[in-house]
Amino acid sequence: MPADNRGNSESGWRFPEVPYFWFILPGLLAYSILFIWPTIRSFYLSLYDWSGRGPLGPIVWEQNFRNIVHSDKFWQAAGNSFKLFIFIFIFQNTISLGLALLLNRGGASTHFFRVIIFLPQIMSAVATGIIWILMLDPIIGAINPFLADIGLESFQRQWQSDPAWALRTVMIVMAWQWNGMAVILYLAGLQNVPEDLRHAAMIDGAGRFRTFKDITFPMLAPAFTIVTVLSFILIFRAFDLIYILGGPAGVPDGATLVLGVLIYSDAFGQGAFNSQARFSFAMAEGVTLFIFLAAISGLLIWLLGRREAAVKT
Amino acid sequence: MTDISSLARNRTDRRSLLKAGGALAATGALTTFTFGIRTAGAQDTVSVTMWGNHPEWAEPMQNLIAAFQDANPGIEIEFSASPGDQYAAKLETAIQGGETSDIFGDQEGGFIVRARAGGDLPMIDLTGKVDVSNLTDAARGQVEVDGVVYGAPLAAYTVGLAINNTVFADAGLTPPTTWDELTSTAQALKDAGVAAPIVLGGKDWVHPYFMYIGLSSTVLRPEGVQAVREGTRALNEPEVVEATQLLLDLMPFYNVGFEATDYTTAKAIFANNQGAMMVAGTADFTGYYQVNPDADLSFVAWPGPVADSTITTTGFELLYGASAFSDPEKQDAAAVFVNWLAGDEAQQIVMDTISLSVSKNITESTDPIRTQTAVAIQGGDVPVWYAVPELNGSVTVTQDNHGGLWTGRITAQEFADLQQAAVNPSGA
Amino acid sequence: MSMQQISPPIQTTSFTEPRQSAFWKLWRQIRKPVSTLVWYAVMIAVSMVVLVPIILVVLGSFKSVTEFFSTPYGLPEKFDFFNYRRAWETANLQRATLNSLIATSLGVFFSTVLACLASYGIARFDFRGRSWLRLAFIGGLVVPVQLIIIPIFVIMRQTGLLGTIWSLVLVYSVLGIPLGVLVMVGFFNALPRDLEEAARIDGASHFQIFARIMLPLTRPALAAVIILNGVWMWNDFFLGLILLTREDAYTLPVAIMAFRGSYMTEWGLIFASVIISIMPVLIGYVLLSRQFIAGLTAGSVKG
Repeated sequence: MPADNRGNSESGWRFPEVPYFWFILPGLLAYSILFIWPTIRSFYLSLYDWSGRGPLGPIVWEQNFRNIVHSDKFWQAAGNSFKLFIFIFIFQNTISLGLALLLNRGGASTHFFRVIIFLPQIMSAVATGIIWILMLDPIIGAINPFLADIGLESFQRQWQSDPAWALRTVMIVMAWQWNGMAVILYLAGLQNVPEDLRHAAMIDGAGRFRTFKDITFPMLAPAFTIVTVLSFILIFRAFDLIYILGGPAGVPDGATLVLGVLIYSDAFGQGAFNSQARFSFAMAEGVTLFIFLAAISGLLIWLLGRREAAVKT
Repeated sequence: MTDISSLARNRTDRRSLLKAGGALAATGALTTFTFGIRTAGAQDTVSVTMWGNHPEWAEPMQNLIAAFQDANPGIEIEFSASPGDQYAAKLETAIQGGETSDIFGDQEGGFIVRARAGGDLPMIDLTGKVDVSNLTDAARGQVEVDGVVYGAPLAAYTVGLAINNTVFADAGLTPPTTWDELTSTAQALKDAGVAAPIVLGGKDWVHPYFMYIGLSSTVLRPEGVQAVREGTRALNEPEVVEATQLLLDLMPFYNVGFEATDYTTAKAIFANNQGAMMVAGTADFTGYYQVNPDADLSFVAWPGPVADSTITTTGFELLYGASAFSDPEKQDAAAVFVNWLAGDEAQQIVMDTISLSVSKNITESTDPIRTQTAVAIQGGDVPVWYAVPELNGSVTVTQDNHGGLWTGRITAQEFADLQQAAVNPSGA
Repeated sequence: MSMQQISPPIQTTSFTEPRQSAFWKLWRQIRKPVSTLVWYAVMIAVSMVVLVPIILVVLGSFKSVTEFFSTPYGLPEKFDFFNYRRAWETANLQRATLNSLIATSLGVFFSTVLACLASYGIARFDFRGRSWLRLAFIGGLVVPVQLIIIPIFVIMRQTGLLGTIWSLVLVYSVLGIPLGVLVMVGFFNALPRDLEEAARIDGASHFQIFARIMLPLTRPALAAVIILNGVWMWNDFFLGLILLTREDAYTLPVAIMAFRGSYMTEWGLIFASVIISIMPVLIGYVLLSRQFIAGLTAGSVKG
């Protein structure tokens, strides 16, 4: 147990602050060995053409990177990931936020509905994927026969194989799974809005909408930051659910191919028929995605943090 | 009965090998004993681990292993299986990480690719320890690379066309043997109200790939495929492109939404009498009967462009070898198993309960589908393209581009051009 | 610190009521019941969207494949637990459930302890580079595990833990840290400083202050970290597939995938196994839901 060394401080070395070291050390040590070191090692190896055994081959990073830039599939996947993020972003800031506003009240029934709305979030991607395949399948799926039974045949679609609908379908399923997280985070933000502030605004004659716009919404800035950054990271890394829905090539013909799926199928998608070159290319794609994510989410945190600070003052 | 004589012959081989193995094991045990690490004697059983795929074969695999252990009481095998699509990720990570199971299954073509690439190999040289003399030439070609034996295939599988006899009988039709018949039969089935005359799971590359290589091979014939490998013929020759065009022309007869139908759903549609024909390999039939135990199915070769030009494509299940990462004692035990696997006793069990045998001597099965397959192969048979190094690139091209065929992004000719560009001719 | 809900907006009395026409009088009378009705209608509709697919899977787990074709969304012929029995027995799920419980509970425990200690150090002490340290920990959320699996495999091989459930426990313990730090640093930051000062005057050590005063105050945030990490560890398939090379060490997702196989076509059996695997998380979630939602509510936004 670290002792309080306060008072031993002399010259530049500030002993009183040393206890933080003992708090951080165990976690940092474990994290460095099993996370930071493997990450550095993987990044280093991704620079080389290496089959996993024997000496390292020539440096191929530059060539891999050039291939990524010229790869239609990579840009198609990046475009789809981006569209998916935009959709989820809009969804979370309209539907999810609206639900959070509706759920921002007390009572047992509110708690009950909160539990249900968060439910999809605790399910594994495999379970969610299987559930939705069961819903969407043209032959055994439930949605199309149900639409027919209630006389809405014209709304039937080839949800997953129609190029116009495939990505929208994935968007809807993603929204279904991630809605709960956004609702809860916004709910948390709403509970930080001081009630007296809103009352004061109402007394001053502000309508409900203006109260929301001028008081509630700005106070939601921190929640907005977390929802945006988290969904940005999660969407651009998304793999398993979309893989189960769209397969390794993102059917039909890449319409549902996203970056996470592309990297996985390049690395492992064809089993042992995968070439080493394709594997190392996949690693390079992974590194590119990582750098992109780290840069953009860092930027987002910085920008939104400034906005939060502006709101506070 | 040639089977019995070869069985007896194989037994002797195995016995002499066992002696050698036992002597080695005894030496090993003695060494460790003198160091006081172990107190047990040479009678100890050696326990080896073994990884494979096809979890649905768990039961017959356990029976196969039990048969081996009965014959080799000194060796115990601990088998575990992962599904095929994840097995590769698991094996490749393990190889790169420097430890695999003592006996591991490599995907077909794997030994050739690894041996030719050189460097430190994950599997050891088993020349002299594993007798591959009774394997078929194709099987032998998979495990013997430049004169070095690395292992033995568990089994072979043949891909052609599965026929739902019930649906055909209801429509009063017989299985097609030519392309014209294929189209007219599909049309007749559709007219008879069959939901999916041809069932296709287009979500991953497997079904479109096997249809593409099957139909293309009916044009090329075995010698043509060999010529493509040598670089004297090309996959984008006009008559070969016809095969891809046929794939497109058949689109009205595929199941609704086939582009997004996964492998398992496709199989269920077929086995449930909603489909009439389906691309299928030997391993698929277990799944059909799981869905519908009463399904009445049979197996035929791919129809050809003209009469008597049917073809099947044959590949191999995992190639089992001994791990280079294991202790010598375990490597020896692994070698004993692999040698047994290559023998006729094991291969008869394989032929009866798992898939097709890789032994020249085993041609009969208690399973009717496998007997039909043996007949279908007579019409002409080529290796599954990805199993030969020259045509390995066909998988990547198909995975990346078959979706483009269905949406019209690329034509049959463009698809064939891409396929040809990926051929890596041996120039032999 | 109070997690008490504020009064619902629909009950808020409006402070400006200048118009007094008959219409507005009527409106004022029916406003509350109408808006309550609308509220319930919206909530029930949303709950249906969430629950219907899940209910279909539950129904599906009682069906044979043939039944799927005849009644895609109807009730099964009879509620027979046949599929459940087969899933439980064939896949050796008893052992797998035990392994999953070990891996998840120990993984959650160690990662939470490590993350709490580190977060406390980062949040409650002033030193150069603490924000960088925080970023380094949180950065773990961005790195896909597929990218770093081979070096992890090598480490496990060298320590002799490969193939055992302990390799998974170790990896989970570390991979759970980033999320823990993300939530806990913010939470510790928000605690008032004078609490600490008072305890220090009483002669408590830093660790005592952390363990006896600070940590109990963060209970809701701890619940959030535990559930969020617990859910992904419980559902993780990839790490288990690569690191657990022996069947007796398989966790639930690995065991289920191993008996499902890529050729498996029996949906009823698949759904039954999916439901078996969801159950423990679901029960834990429902039991902890009040704590959990309160924890998220309290912790995340302040961070």
